[in-house]
Amino acid sequence: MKIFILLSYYKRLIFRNPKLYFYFITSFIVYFIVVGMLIFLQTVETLNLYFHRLLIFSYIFQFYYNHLYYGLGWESSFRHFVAFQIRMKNIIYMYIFLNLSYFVFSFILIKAVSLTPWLIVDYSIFNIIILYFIIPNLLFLIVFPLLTIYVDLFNSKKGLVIHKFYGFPLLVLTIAFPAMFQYLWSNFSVGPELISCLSIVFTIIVISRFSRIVKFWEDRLLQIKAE
Amino acid sequence: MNIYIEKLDISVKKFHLHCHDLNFDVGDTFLITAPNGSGKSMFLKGIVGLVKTSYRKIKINGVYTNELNLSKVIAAYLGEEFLIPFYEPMEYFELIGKIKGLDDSQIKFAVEGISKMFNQEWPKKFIRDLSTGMKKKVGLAGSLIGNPQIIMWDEPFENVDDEAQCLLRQFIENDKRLIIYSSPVRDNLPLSRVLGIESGRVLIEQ
Repeated sequence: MKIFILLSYYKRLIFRNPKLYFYFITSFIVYFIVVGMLIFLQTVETLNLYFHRLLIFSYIFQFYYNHLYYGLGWESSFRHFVAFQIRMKNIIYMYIFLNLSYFVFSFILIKAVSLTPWLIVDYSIFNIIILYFIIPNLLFLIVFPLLTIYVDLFNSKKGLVIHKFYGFPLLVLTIAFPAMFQYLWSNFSVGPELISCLSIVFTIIVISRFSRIVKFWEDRLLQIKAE
Repeated sequence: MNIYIEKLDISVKKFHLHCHDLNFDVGDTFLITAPNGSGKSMFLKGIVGLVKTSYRKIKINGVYTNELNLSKVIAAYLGEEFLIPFYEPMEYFELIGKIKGLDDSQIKFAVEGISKMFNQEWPKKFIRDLSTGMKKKVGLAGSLIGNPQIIMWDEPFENVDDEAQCLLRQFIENDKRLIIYSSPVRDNLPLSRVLGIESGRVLIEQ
């Protein structure tokens, strides 16, 4: 399916659902507050802030709100259209594409405001791509459907169920994984090689088992509300 | 074009539905009739893979459904969950057309066809703001875009006005494709077969 069809669907999903405005605007504002805060902190030279940390923060909001909340359809009322016409595989591709766009946007923005030098440490470009693009996307592919096992995410009576039950674990996951890998990368002599190998192996597993992952997503979506 | 149900088992909580060895051929019209709550919709959703099934072996033209993109061969409208509430009807039709790989002129032609069939001008309102009957018309019409050879509708006559019912009956009578639809009441249409559901089993009645 052509990406522009999916993006047009996504655009309408966001801009035509008043319930989503709050979350969209919040994530947008918080993103720029974080950017502003980091610029300020760097100006007063109180902390040596890494480019990466900004990406972690910004990523949380992209990952948490846009992907999980807008997810497969905020309302359960059109999940059969998603499953039957658009198909889950394409939805996953769309989110990965959006992640990539957001990642590139963050990268350019940071460069434009000269927040930090272009490359901070050795292998910096690989570090950023692996830790802040590949790993969160792999988490997204696997963690989201797993989270839906026990709770009906789309039950309108519990509209904020993701916040109530998953907000904290998700924040921990999205911060903890990149932070942990970042620590390993920076503090061990073979850290970069180790993380790179892990990511490659993980990516290969996901690609080779992609149809199973898609099937799992589909099952989760269709099982969410038994009729 | 035909559908062959080797075996289909659906179990949701205390509800069980079982069906095996059923064949549907192109040109035939099938009515699934049974009382409310007996599993007509569930059966249709099970065929297109929209409910979790405990066993599902279905072939379309000899190919198992898990190897097919079903939306390209089946026109399904099995409830409001097939609609996108934040789209206008025309946008919805265009989206379906684009998903099915039609170009602009083909989409325009298809929309003209369905508008004529329903004798309808589509309102410029979001689908969520339409009446129940209009939503159903949009869903049924949208399912026909792309000229699929198998049509599956869940209670198509429910909630639509007399004129639309009449047009739908004409369509079902005259169309040469495989049509499978459900209704809680028996119609007077010339049907190839009537399927019933008894104690969780899908059975051929005639």
